[in-house]
Amino acid sequence: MTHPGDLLSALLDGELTPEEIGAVSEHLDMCAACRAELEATAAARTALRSLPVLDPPPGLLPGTAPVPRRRMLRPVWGWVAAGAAALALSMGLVLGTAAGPAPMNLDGFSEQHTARILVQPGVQAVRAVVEAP
Amino acid sequence: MTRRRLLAALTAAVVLLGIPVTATAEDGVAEMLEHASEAEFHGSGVVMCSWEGDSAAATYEITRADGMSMIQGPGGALMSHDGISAMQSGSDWYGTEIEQWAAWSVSDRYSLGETVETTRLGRPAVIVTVLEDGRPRVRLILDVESTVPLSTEILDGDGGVYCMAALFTFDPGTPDMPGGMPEMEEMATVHPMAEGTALPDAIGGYRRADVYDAGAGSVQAFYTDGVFSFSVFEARRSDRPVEFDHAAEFDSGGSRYRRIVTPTNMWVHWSAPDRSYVLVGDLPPDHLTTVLEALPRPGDRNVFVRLWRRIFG
Repeated sequence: MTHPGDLLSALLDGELTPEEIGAVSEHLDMCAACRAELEATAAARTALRSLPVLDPPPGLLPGTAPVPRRRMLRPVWGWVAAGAAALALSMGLVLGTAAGPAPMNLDGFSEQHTARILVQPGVQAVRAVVEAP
Repeated sequence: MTRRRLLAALTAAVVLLGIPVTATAEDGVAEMLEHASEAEFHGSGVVMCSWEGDSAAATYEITRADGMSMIQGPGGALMSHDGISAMQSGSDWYGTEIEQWAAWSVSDRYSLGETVETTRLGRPAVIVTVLEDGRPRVRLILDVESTVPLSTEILDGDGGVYCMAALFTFDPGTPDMPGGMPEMEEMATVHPMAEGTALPDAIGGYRRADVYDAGAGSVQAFYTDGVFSFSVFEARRSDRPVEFDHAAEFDSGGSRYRRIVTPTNMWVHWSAPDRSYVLVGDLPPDHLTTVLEALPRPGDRNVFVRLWRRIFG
């Protein structure tokens, strides 16, 4: 087999047939350059996935233009809105006295799950265990 | 030769010779997986999971000898031995010890299908299919001499490959390993809990094998069918995994969940009215759908219930 080239990326995308996976694996066993290329491709994908998702500035993408200003409420509805806001504020004060959101320790969960699956056989233990999100 | 090794060798022989083993179906799967997880070798490979357009892959190196395994992946190294696993972060090692665990058994829904001779990495090999209720669920390519899986494919309910792992270098034998587990910077012990969760005892063919304390008011319920496994972490509703903030949403049984695909696992998060949940495991997507339907559904609390609970607990 010649160097698999784009097939390496397709392998990582899960787009190869079992026969193609076999052929690529056979080639990788003999070709250090392709192994290095596969590892670099996998690493680049992991790095890309770890980048934070940023919200684009308003107006940069179609359909994300600034929202027009709301029209003014009529006076009677203004009083209702003010009353609702006061109620919401008072409820918010009550709600706010309790503990706020706390982050979950996914690393801890990952370590605990991994440690548990490794004590017994199973498909996961046979394959390998690699990482947490 | 111990009874276990004898059984494993017999099973391997049966598998490798292609003798029909459906009469002892589940025992055949159990022995094959057990033997495969004990084989000694060194290799490097690629592991990948893909679900509905989300995919993740990584390359790794694995060494297994003397009952110890060491895996070097993009996130660092992982060593495991006798219920203790150690993960490397920088130059330090952090250990996790599972205090006790339920006995392992394979669900009787699995059986071994026919075997086909092949070659892989220039070596004689056999393709072994694990059937679930008669349908292919896992396809393994085992090295004949060592019975190490050179390739593993997990199939979704529609027969498509959901996860795969393939070695591209393979060196059987007894590789060099460190003399023991590394010096740990910290060691955490995972304690079982007799009570502590209302999560079901069994879901979609998986049994709840163990329940552990996961710290900070969280509980880990570990489910397995002997082939696949997953943990459900049940936490306070206010606890939020920030990693899921931008995760893909998906629909299951009419409810919305968020998911992250890693090279070896599926992570799912949702908040039910009373608790927040994270599920992690290698179960195929069609199994996941069944499992999610049996767990508390996503939903918001009624504002007055929320207010009441905040005030009166």
